[in-house]
This record gives sequence, C-alpha cells and structure tokens, in this order.
Amino acid sequence: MSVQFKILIGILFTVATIAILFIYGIAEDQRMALAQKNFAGRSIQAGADYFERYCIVCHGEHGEGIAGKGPPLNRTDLLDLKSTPYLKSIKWNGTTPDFLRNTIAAGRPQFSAYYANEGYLDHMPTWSQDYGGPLRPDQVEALVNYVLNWAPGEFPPVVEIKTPTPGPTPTPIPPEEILKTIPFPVPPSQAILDEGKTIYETNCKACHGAELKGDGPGAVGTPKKPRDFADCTAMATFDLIQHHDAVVNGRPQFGMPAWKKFSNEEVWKVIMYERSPCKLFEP
Amino acid sequence: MGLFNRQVKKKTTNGKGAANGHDANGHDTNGKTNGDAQVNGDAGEELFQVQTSQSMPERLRETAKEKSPHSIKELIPWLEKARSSPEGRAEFIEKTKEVAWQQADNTVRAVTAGMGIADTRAFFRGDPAIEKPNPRYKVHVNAFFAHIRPKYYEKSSTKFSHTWGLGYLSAYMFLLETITGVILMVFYTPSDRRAYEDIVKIMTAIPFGQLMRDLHRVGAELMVLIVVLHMTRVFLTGSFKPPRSFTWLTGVILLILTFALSFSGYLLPWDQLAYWAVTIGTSMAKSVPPKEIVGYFSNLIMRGGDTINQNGLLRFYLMHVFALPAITLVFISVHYYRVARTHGISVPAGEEESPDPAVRKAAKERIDYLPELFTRELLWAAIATFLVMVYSMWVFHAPLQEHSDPLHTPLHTTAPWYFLWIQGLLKDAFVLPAIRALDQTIIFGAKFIGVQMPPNSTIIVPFYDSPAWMGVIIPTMIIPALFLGVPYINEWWEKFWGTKPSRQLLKNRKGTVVVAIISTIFMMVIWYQGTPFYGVTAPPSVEIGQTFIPEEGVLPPVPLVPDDWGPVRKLGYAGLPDGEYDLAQYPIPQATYTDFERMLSAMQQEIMRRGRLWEEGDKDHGLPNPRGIFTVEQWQNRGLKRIDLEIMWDPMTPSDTGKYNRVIYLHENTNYK
Repeated sequence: MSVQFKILIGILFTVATIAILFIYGIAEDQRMALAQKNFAGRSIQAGADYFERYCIVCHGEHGEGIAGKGPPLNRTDLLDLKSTPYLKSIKWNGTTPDFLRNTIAAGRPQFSAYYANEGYLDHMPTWSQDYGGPLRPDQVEALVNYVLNWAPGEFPPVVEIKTPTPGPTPTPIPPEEILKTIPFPVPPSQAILDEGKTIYETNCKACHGAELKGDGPGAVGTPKKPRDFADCTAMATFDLIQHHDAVVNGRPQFGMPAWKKFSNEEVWKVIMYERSPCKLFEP
Repeated sequence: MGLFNRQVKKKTTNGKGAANGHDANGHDTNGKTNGDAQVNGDAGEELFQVQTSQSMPERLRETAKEKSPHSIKELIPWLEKARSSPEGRAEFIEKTKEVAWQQADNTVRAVTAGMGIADTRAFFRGDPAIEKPNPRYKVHVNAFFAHIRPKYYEKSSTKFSHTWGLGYLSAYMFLLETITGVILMVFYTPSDRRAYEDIVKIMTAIPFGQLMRDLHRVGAELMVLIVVLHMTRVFLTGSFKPPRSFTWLTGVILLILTFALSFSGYLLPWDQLAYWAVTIGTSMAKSVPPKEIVGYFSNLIMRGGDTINQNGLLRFYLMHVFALPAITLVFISVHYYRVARTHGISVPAGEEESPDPAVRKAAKERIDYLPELFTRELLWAAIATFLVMVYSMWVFHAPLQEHSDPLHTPLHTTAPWYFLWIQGLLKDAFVLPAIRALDQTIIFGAKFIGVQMPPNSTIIVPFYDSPAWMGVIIPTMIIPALFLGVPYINEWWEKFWGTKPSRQLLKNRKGTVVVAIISTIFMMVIWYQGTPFYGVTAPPSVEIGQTFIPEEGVLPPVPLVPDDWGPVRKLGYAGLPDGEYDLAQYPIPQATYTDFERMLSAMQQEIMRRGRLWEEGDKDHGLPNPRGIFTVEQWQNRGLKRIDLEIMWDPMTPSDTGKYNRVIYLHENTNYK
C-alpha cells in the first residue's frame, strides 16, 4: 500500500469517526433524557419491590393504610405536590420528597398529632442504615420514588383522609356524669386494684414505670415527662375527672396515646391503681 | 548556516572516524545511507546533495542545492542595489524570495525535527528521501516519540499475516483505556454510597458519558482478547525462542497485569453484576494454602473485610487507576524496548529458515519506519478507533444492573468470562471423581484381604482440598509453565535431543501443535464448565423463572455480547397486556400469535418439558404435573405493572408448598432492549 493511499484512507476514517461523533452528539440530549427516564423507572420498580417486602404489612398493598397499624400514603393531600395541604398542616417547610425521605429514613419517634385519634400501636421505625435500619440510601430513594409515582385521584383508588383540622368539639359530659360511671364502690377493694395493676403493667408500665414514678424506658424522648403517680403534691391537683380525660382522650401533644380500646370498667380500674400510691380515690 | 545544518555537519564529520558497526536493528551509527556524504568529503559544502528526481519541481531542487543567505540582515547589500537601479530591484525581489523560502524551510525543519520542505513533501508522497544523509533518520534522533521507535524493521516481520498487528493493538487499547478512564475518573467517587449513583449519572447526565463508559468497557474486553491472541500468535510462530525469551517473560507478566486491570475495574460500577463477580473472583484467594494464614490474610487484604465493602471498593479503585497502570506501563516499556531495540519482531520462520538464500535475504530487507510503518500505524489507529466507536455507539452498551446487595446472591452469577475457566476448575469434574473412584477401589481391594470398611467410608478424599487445588494451585501452575516452560524448557529440550532450533510450526514443531490443540480444547472444556450451563442445580421451578425473568446480576458468559434481560423484560411494559393467563391454554405456538402469546407458549413448553422429565424419572430437573399462571396487573396508574409468573406442581413432601412465584415490576419508561 502506498503512503499516499494509507494517508487517504486514514483521513477518511478519521473524518468518518468525527462524523459519527457528530451524529451521536446530535441525539445525545434525547438519549440522556431517555436514560434518565429509564433509570427513574428502574428506581420505581425497585421501590415497588422494597415496598412489597417492608411496607405493606402496615401501609397496605396499595398504600391505602391499615387501621390500627399504619396511616394511608396513597392520599391526595400528601401526593398533591403543588399545594401540599398535608405538609402545610404539619408545618413542614421542605418538599414532599424530602418529607418522605426523612420519614422513611429516620422513622417517627413519636406519634403524629395528625393521627392522634387513630390510635396506632407502633411507631414508624427507622429504616435507613444511617439510623440503624436495614435500607441503603438508594433503597430509601427508590421507596420515595415509588410513593411519589401514585397519581392523585387515579388508580388504585386514592384514600381520602379525614380533614386534618379536628372536627367539632364533642359536647363535654358534665363531671358528675363521668363520676357516676364508676362501676364499683370507692375506695376500691384490693381485688380491683390488682386487676388495675394487670392492665397497667401490659399497657402503661413502658412509659409510666414499674414503680408508677413516670420513669419507664418508653418515656425517653417524649416532649414531657410522663406523670409521676407517686408525687402526691402534684397528684392532689389532678382530680378524677382530669385523670379520666387523660386516659380516654390521651395527651397527643405530649406523646400520651388515647386509650380508646379500654372499656369503661378497665379505665376506672387503671385509674384506681394509678391513684393508689397517694390513696386519692375520692372525687 | 542555520543551527540545524551545523549539527548535521558535526555529526557527519564524526561519522568518518566511527566504526561501521550496528548496535541493533535500526541503530547503526554509520549505516550505508549516510555513507554517500562521507565519500563526497567536504561535508560542510556538500551537505545538501540532491538526488536527481524528475518529479521534483526545479525550484525545490535549486533551493535545496544553493547556499543562500539565511537571515534578513544579509539582504541589506541587495537593498542598496535595489535603490540604485531597476535591475538591482529585480535582483532584490528575487533574493528576498530566496531568503523567505529559506526561512520557511528552517521553520519546517524545526517542526518536523529534521526534514525540510522538500523532504516533508516527499515524505507524504511516499517518495524516497531527497537529502543525504536521510533526514528521516534525523527525526529519530531529534524527536522523542520517533526516537523510541526503531528506524526500520526487517520487511517480512511487519507482514500482517505474520503479526496480525496484535501487539500494536494491545498498546492502542491501553492508550484508549487510559484516555477514557481518566475522563470517567472525573465523574466517579469510589464510595459504596455514591459509586452506583455516579455511574447512573455518567449514563444519564453527562454528555458522551455513556459513550466513554461503553468505549472503556469495549476496550477492556478487547484488550484481554487481543493480549491473549497476541500471546497465542507468538507461541505459534515460535517467536518466544532465543533471543526473545526474556521478552516472552515480560509478556506473560503483561498478560497477568491485563487480567488484573480488567478484573479490578469490574467492581467499580458497584452493581449486582460487579459485586458478585468480584466476590467469586476474590473468594479463590481464601483457599490459598495454608488457609488459616495466607488464605485468610490475602482475602482480608484484597477485600478489606470479610465481604467486599467500602474498604474493598477503595482498594480495587486504587489498584485500577493507579497501581496496576503504573506497573503495566513499566512492563510495556521493557517489553517494547526489547522488541524495538534488542531483537526486533521475528521474521516468519518459513522465510528465515528457507533453503533459498534469495528468500532469506529478501526477508531481511529493510523497511523504514518513516514514513511506511508510521502511516500504517496511524491508519490502523484510525480504523480501530472508528470500529470501536461504531461498536460502542450502536451495538454494545456496558451493562449496569441493580445496585449491589451483599445480602442477596443472584442465581447463576459468575466470574468475568476470562476467569470462567477457573470457576470451571472449581466444579472439579475430573480430579475429585478420580479420587473417589480410587477410594472405592481401595475399599474394594481391602475386602479381599479381609478388612471390612464401614459403608460410605472415605480414605483419600478427606485429605484432598478441592478449592485449594482447583481454584489456586492449578491455575497458578499455569504461570510458571508459561513463564519458564515455554521459552526455557523448550530450549533445553532442543539441546537435549540435539535438534536444530527451528520456528517452523508445521515442519519441525509437530509436538507443539499437539500441545497447543490439546490445551486449547482443555481450556474450552473447563471454560464451558464454568458457565451456569454446567452442573448447577437450582430447583426446576426457579430455573423456569430464571429462563424467562432472570435475576439481575447475570451476564452472558462471552465477551462483547449485549446484555440479556430475558424475554419478559424485553417485551416490556407496552408488550404485556393486563390479565391473568393460564399457560395451559398456550401449548402450541400458532401463526396468529402475537409476540406476547408466543412467549406464553414458550413458557408452557418449558413447563411441559419439566413435566416430561419428571415422568422420565429425572427428579432433579423435572416437576410432577407442573402448570403455570402468568399475571400482569396494572399496579400504579402512572405506568407501573406487576408481573407474576406462578409455577405450581404436586407437592412431593409435606414441607413442599408446590408453588413458586417470580415477581417483577415493570415501569413504562424502563428499556431492556
């Protein structure tokens, strides 16, 4: 092959390489957009997989929520990215993805006031490896992408939730009426106090402590220290009516749940047991 | 006289006293090409002796011959003449042109490191050099990149059918890998939290990022392939024989380094594929005997922990981008220096050992590097670049599967294709059965002398450490075999038998041919055994799922083949209509079927095949009364479908559920084609 021929062919190939680079370059923006979509789609697919593995136990197959276990996620007020009514109601200043990412990663150390009257038994646990959970950052991100892929108002049916503002305040029952609901004579017998103790130990001991001093391990991190039932000066100002209200309606702002699952009898038995250190049984 | 001409004068004068010796090919200090200048004597005067060449314009020849003024200052006397008369003016213009020409010529000499305008023109036309001594050889002295190349090769050694350009192409691939690798380094962080995300970014947000990644991947695969082919070529042409034995040794080291470079880069995308391929690769280190010390620590040093994690990723990254390239560069230099300066490329054996002296002489004829081989190399580089570009733009894309998950091993995951033969050895299809058979023979023999062994007893098998032998010792034995065996034992062998050393493959090295064929067949067999097609026993229902919806983290066992995601993912979101399909309805593919129905039919046929295998008594691969349901469900309205392949069979044991589900989700934007 002559030198000139080699130079000619070499130049042709070089020009051809530049030409195909140009052709490739023209479509590059389009390719990148498609690749972006492709990988976003793969992230959503992975998120669906993780959701099925970790989340449906509490939040339901389609994120519709399970009563008593977990709130719905597939909700218009959460997924409306423009007006974000839910985020405004809880005074969250960030974006919806941020909110979801933080909630999934760090969990909910306390119940949201928003769901106070739902009475969930478990907190949202921490999921990110950063906080001792099982998920890597990319898995948390995939879950966020999956949740955001629910279109508001489309299939599957988006669950509407009760308005975030508390409904009309129920007409207060007069105190005399409440005190009339005590099903046993006061002061209670030792048998009733023992039954109260059993209920206390399964439900209340975690926060209020075995010694009724408000120092249980579950109380760590609550906004306010749980009531110390052994502190008789404080208990003197805490009458039976207030006590009943605290148990039945809870104190959501302080982390005390509403114990709607108790029957009237159980409520009073627990109250009597809790008041036993100071013997303040009379109204 | 310009600076350059003075240099040449000095050299030529020295040349008279120098011996007419060669130190190496292309390095004769006093070759015949500059002999003419000496014969003519008066080197200073006759420097620009011009060969008669009718193709040269008169002007060029004249200028080259004449001793003309070289600086503008020398025009001053002519300027005075020009002022005095019109003739003087014409002379002045003429003189000015000459000076300008000389100035231009000097500039060109500086740029080309030795060639004037006339010679540069001849260079690109492929004409012989004009000036004497040959200014193209001056380039080899003056310019760095030309100086590391030899001035000429022996003509036959550069034949394409002899070398296939494989050594040059290996070096080209190393350069391609360096360039694309440095560009990729800009966008990559060796952190287990960011690595995968960065690769996704390279593919989605960096213009030409995917192309760079594809080029790097294609280059890496090709480099391994070409280096192996290069070694095979050198072996077959007998080019490892003296005086090239040491070059062969450096070549073997370069082969190992190429494997190491490719393998260390395999981990960096940090997807399932990378993670598990490298886990398999490094787990062999665990078996290095003695396991408790060497195996344990070599594994720990490589991975930085029990499993590959952030430490392991950083180690592999630093090996890949710094340590291994640096060592490789050193060995490439040594390897190349031996070829270029010490012994040259071998001449084809048939010509070198030919009984005809004319053939022998013609083979050793010189072919100059400049311009013949130089242009040939550039042409090769241009063609290779073009082909690699086309391949990475439109044929092959570097795979990126899901994020690595240390807790989940994908089914049928393998080492990279160039280590599959080691994985095949680890399945131990030859030695372990032989040892078991030996055991049985001993037990059988013991019966006759009255020793009764308990049933299922073993004698030698417990002393045989299969992973250590098959994963480490035997593969490592190949290195000294290549290292010493090929060049040195061969030499010793020839001396022992008193045979005349020869490089002719079919004439004098028939044993070599047999060895080459046997070892190639053996390598192919154990390579095949390394693939998932050999000796892997997953439950049959899982295998059906894997055939149609493979888990992410598996690659085809051959290089440069586009990724295979299985038929369901290939059909994609749009190709899968919603519904619950009983596969029993699709036993035979019909002409009217859509692609989707054809796939359902393929599933049913695979299920029926498993059923037949069970009836034939193959309990490992068959299923009793198998049936399948394929469900496609719209899962989210914004383009997400849930695909569920359910295989059911008659439960064989109480704990057998009789059911297997393979579930994936498909988004409308994902593309697996």
